[in-house]
Amino acid sequence: MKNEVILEVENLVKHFPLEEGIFSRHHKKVHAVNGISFQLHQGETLGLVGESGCGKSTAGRTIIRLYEPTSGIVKYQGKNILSYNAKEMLAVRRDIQMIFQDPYASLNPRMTVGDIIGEALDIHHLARGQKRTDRIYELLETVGLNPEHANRFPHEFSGGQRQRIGIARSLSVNPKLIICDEPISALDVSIQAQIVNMLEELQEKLGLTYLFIAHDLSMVKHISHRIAVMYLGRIVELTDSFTLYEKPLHPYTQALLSAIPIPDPDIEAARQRQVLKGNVPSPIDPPSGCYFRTRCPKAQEVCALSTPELIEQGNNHWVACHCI
Amino acid sequence: MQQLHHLLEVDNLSTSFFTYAGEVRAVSGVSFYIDEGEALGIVGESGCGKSVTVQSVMRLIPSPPGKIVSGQIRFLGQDLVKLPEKQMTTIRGKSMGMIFQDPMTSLNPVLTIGRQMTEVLQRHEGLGKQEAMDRAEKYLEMVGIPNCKRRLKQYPHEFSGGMRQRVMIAMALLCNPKLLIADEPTTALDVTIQAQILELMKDLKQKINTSIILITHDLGVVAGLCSRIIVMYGGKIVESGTVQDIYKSPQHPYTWGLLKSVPRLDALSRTKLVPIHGTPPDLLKPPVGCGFTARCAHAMKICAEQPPGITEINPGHQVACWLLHPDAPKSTFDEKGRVG
Repeated sequence: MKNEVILEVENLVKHFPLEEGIFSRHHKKVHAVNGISFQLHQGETLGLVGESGCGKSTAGRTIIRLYEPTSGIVKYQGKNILSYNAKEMLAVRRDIQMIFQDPYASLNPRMTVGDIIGEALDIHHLARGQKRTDRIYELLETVGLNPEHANRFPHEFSGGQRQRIGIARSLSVNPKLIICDEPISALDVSIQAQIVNMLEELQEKLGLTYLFIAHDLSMVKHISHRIAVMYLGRIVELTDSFTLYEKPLHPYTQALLSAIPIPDPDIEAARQRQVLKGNVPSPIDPPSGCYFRTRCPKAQEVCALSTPELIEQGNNHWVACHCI
Repeated sequence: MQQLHHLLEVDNLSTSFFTYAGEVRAVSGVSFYIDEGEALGIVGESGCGKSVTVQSVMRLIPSPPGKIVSGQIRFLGQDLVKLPEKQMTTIRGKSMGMIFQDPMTSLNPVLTIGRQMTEVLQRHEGLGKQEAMDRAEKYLEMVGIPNCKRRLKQYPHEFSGGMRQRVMIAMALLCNPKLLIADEPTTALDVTIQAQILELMKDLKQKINTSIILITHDLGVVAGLCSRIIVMYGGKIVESGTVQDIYKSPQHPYTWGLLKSVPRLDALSRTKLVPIHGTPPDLLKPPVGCGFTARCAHAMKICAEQPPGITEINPGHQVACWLLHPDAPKSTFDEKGRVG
């Protein structure tokens, strides 16, 4: 299932300057994304997981240039899109769409559902008049809503339905790649499954590629072919989803997996939980060397001295750790 | 024999909110009990009435618009529904502690942690300032907060989310309550922090023998901590039983749905999730029959017409579903999650 590379991220860095003092001099910066690299293949789903504040959403937004990256390269179909001007970027955004986490905040409350979906068609001059209306109806049906819903406003819908509207909007321009930024974490469990199944069906039908950003590792494992685990703005482990669960190599991945409760009382009772001490360090002042060393049970001297590179440990299993 | 020892017994509790649009029946006819030293889980989606149920128990329902319409809440020999507010304040915080979902908003931002913690002790236990500070320090240490002495002088914003939840737990336990109610205590936290808090609660349960009611939407969270589980849907209890009953032989289609709609981390192959179609019922116009009818794959004519009675599968495992009526066609739930 090795297809061609559609998106390639090389050493992407995003730092946010913190303004301090009356002259607004930049003293410190938040190290949100600290040099991540990965490739995304046509038709696959890459999961990006990590705890809050690990930079996964920032990474997603920087890739599509909603934030301007500090440094790095983002190649879409072989071309670096970071050097593109606004006009060239518009064409790229037709191919790369985004679904946002909060289905309440990401839809304009003053626009009807039809206009929300149709806006993208207008911007990219894809359809007008009757054709536009037909396309909107078709999209609503694709995501499991009624065409009559086109004249309603977002507040008339439940969270799950709003997320469907958000998905219809992103599909309107026939994208190739969709960045899903925590698309289900604001939804109830029974609704989450509806949305995830729909995303899977759409992928099959339209050949979409997903970058699936989420903190829920069991859901990410379910939907993704490959998973990248992030910690404080760096990728610590990257491999296919079953290997990640069966043979996690990085101590952080191991702790993350062991922290997730399994809905089975027998398994829960038998489990030896590996509980991480302390909190994630501040991204304003991250520790030297390996960022995880302050909480790592295996930390050694070398971990404080140098930053571990993401190294392949056989069969496309990439790990950034000195202790392997 | 059991009957005598229930710490808390809720009998046929109904709580409604009287809004401009009409009466919202958030909780209707809920009965359950909890014994001393036991951990009970209440599971359900948002809007199923789980939070309103425990808020009714604590008498924290904002009134108006909320009101306990009927039912009894027996706690330590008293009916809390009829208790005057003044006496209720002596129970709240002293014999019943509560941990709220959001540790960011449930602490007062302008008072130090020490001040907030000692307030409880001075009020309920009549301790002096220094004694109260000492006790607060001891409890902060118990929940695993380092440098307690210094921490007591700090404000909530100086604590991280996980630490604040620890403070909330310490505060709820200060007066050694008989019952600790935890309303989604880990929902706002990251998984590694959630694991810390759950381990802490497990530890504390053994150490101080408090009864715990744990409310959550995550079936994984209750599996490790609770011995009995209540599943709520649309303001009613649809199934209750021991963890073994609920996870190994669930009987209500909604419980099947909940178990099948979440992906399991230990799943060996990529199986398709089975979502529950549709959305929860509008409690402004509650359905006449079973609340789950509209989303149930096994619904029959009678489900929409009459509310189902309660069937007891085995002692303690109760299910409210027409499928368990002797005349109903048989549906079962097997290990692989298929419905046959």
